Parts: sequence; C-alpha cells; structure tokens
Amino acid sequence: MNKNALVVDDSGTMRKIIIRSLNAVGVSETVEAGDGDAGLDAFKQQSFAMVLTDWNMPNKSGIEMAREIRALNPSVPIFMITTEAERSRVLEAIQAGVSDYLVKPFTSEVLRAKLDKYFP
Amino acid sequence: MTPSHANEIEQIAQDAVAMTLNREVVPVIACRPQGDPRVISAIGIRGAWNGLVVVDISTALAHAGAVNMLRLAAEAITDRDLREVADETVNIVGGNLKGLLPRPSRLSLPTCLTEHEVVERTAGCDLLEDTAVGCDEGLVRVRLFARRTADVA
Repeated sequence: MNKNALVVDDSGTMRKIIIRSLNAVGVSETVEAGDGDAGLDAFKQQSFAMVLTDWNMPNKSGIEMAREIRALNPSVPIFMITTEAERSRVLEAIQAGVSDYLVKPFTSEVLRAKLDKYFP
Repeated sequence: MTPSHANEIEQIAQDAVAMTLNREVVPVIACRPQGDPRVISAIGIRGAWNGLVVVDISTALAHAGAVNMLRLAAEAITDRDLREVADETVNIVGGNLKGLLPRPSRLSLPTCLTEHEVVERTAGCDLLEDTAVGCDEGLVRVRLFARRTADVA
C-alpha cells in the first residue's frame, strides 16, 4: 500500500496540523490542496492511499469533491475533518461516500489513533 | 437559543485555541475593551438562525501560536499566517456554536475584518454573548451576534 495522502483544506494551518499527524504514522508523502477543485485535480493526477478533506471550503466544497472522487474510485478512504458535527451532516457525508469523520477541534492523539487504522 | 451559552462558548474557545494555537487558555472576566493589537475574523451562520460569530485574537498570541503550529521562525510569520490562524479558530468556534443554535443552518466562509468592519457588519444585530479566554500571551474574545431580521449580510 502506498503511504501517501491528499490533504485538502483551505487553511494552511490545518493542513500542517494534519500532515504532522500523517508524518507521525509514517506517511511522509503528502500533496496539499486549498479547495475541492484543486483537490479533485490532484486526485486525478496520481493515486493516493487516503484523502483527508475539510467540508467548508471556497469553490468546490469537501462534500462535492468527495462525491466526485467516490465516482472515480469506490475504494479510496475519504476522511472528512470538519466542524460540521450535526447528525444530519454526518449522514450526508456518509451518503456522499465519506469513509471516516472527525469533528474539529480534536487533539493530535485522536487524529493519530484514527489514522493508525488506515496506516497500521 | 437559551439565554446564555457563555460556558459552552468558553469551552469551545478553549478547545479551539488548544488546537489552532497550541495554547492552554482559561476564561477571562472583564477583559473588554482590548487595547492591544488584534487579528479579527468572523463567520456567518444562516438558516433557521441567522447571525455572526466574531473571534478576535491578540496579535501577540496569534503570532506565538503561529510560530508553534507552523514551526517557523518568529520573523518568518506573515500577516497571512495570522489571518489563517484567526480564520481557522473562528471556523471551529462557529461550527461548534452552530450545533447549539436552531437547525438547520449553514456556515459561511471565515473572513478577516477590522473592528470598524465588525461594527458595520453587525448593524441590525443584537450582541448575545461576549466572552473571552486567555493566557499570558493575550486574549481570544468571542462575540455572538444575532440578526434581528432574516436578512443576513
């Protein structure tokens, strides 16, 4: 399994927080994108072991991107990291093909524990 | 919304600051008005409840947090880095606050503002909450404004 990941978030700070946790579980190859459009473009250009995405972003949102990635690839894990905590929103994400979900704020320990499942 | 969510807002702000600035902060009383330089970001909530969440962070605290989170030298931190820290903090605070408010509603994207712009944007709003958390390096103030009508800027 390739240990690489696509990290999509309009916040550079959040991307760094996420990438630090990815590095901690042995994922050293990461590609960053600042919105769903750029994320989808990056996904089409190479294969990834995982996609981690925010929901609320300019241009194309994370949920729109997730639907399009899922249509292209039914198996890649898509990990939504967002402030959207309401049950209806979580269900919407699952229906869009999101594999796992983490609500901000979170601790690095919680994120690493989640990532460990995908990068054992 | 129930009359006061000050305690919940303080907790949300503490958790958000721990994540975005890697700082432990505690509730602060009687902090207003703040005279120190600040970076301000706001996010709108629209839907069953309409209003605005405004977070302002002492520039010194935002700078220290950015150095820590971005692992850059202090002199390498830019204004854009400070705005990103403030935007992400208000995004987290607003997203979590939305869960306490009537549903369904949607978040806007965060936007950095001046205090003058905050005054303009919150014309026609009621200030529902005004709380702050802080540490030695500065304060994080959270204000929640409710629109009096369904028209949301």
